[in-house]
Amino acid sequence: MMKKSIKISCPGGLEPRPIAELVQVASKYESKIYLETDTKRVNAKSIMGMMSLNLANGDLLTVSADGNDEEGAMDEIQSFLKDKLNLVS
Amino acid sequence: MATVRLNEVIAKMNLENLTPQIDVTKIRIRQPDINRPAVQMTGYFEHFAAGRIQIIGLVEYSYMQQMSPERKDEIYQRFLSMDIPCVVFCRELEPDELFMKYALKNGVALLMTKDATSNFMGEIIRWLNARLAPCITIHGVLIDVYGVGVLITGESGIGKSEMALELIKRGHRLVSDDVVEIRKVSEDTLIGTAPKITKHLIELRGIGIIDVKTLFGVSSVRNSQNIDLVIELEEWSKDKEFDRLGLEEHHIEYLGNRVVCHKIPIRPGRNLAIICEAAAVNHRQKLMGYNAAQELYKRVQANLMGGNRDDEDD
Repeated sequence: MMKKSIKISCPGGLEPRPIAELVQVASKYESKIYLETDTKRVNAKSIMGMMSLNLANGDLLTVSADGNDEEGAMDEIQSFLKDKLNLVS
Repeated sequence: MATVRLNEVIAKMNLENLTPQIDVTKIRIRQPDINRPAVQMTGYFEHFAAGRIQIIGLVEYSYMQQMSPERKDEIYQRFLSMDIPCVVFCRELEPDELFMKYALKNGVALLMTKDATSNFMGEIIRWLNARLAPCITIHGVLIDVYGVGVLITGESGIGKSEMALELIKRGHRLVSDDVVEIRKVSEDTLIGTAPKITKHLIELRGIGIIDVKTLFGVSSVRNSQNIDLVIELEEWSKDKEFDRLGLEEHHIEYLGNRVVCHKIPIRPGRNLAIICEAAAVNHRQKLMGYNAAQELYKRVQANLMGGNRDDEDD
């Protein structure tokens, strides 16, 4: 079980397409992956869950991964959030 | 912690805003309780629950009217500077000028309703309790099957949404796909709803998002439903034990409330929708006082007592 918190910076909010890409990234892994804000906890492999997460600027997002490939999953999700989506300041 | 914006309260309870200068969208209600500040008007401020909605009825109002101007000045100032969210005047009673002055000074919204005090109190407590109930979001599908709220859970990709679609085609009603918001409204009631963003939508792998309400009509959806039964889908494996009799009920806990839970093994060729329907009807029958597993148990017992002979064939 791994856990990491990331502070989100996305002044314009997050669009559906990159969310779908993030779900694809998460779905590659066997591990159970969850994203958490202070009010919601959703499965990162679920499109509908991720769409309803409604990330806002300044939110603290906690990524947790549990399973055999948790390290790879955590690394790729983190770099996806950072490099592709520019969510991390 | 859930909160409600004051403008939602005003719209829902049909209140008149006597202080439109104050921005009510910034005021948040955090507690489902209310307070009638009769004792506070006499000058007693120990244990004062300032965070609650303050409600003034005829008793408080007539007491306030007979207070001397100096006393009013002292009490109003103290009362309204205590970080209270709003004051509601019932029966269309109107606050005096002094009250209004201190309310505006401290940014306390003053509201008015036509309702009688106890009616209004009952209504607002009931509504706030539902709105401010502890809430979690879980991964699953909530569907109304024969009036029983069935929550289907299981790993991603196990077939929850397909099962939901089949149930909808059989005439049952979808509440939410993939994400269910669960609220604990009382010690034995959990209510599930869909997040606004994904309401009445289903995601099917390979097809994408479909809108159940526009495709299958209004009769195929509902906005909220109690969670009466949980069906957990699991990959079938030889080593796992699945319930064969159903003599004992298994439970799962959400927000401290226990809900009956069935683990259903997934194997090619199993018709999941029909199993779900059977589970729902069986659950209703149990609630009505008949338990098929116990009936079987009784028959076997009776047979043993009767000396192992099956007399029915005679």
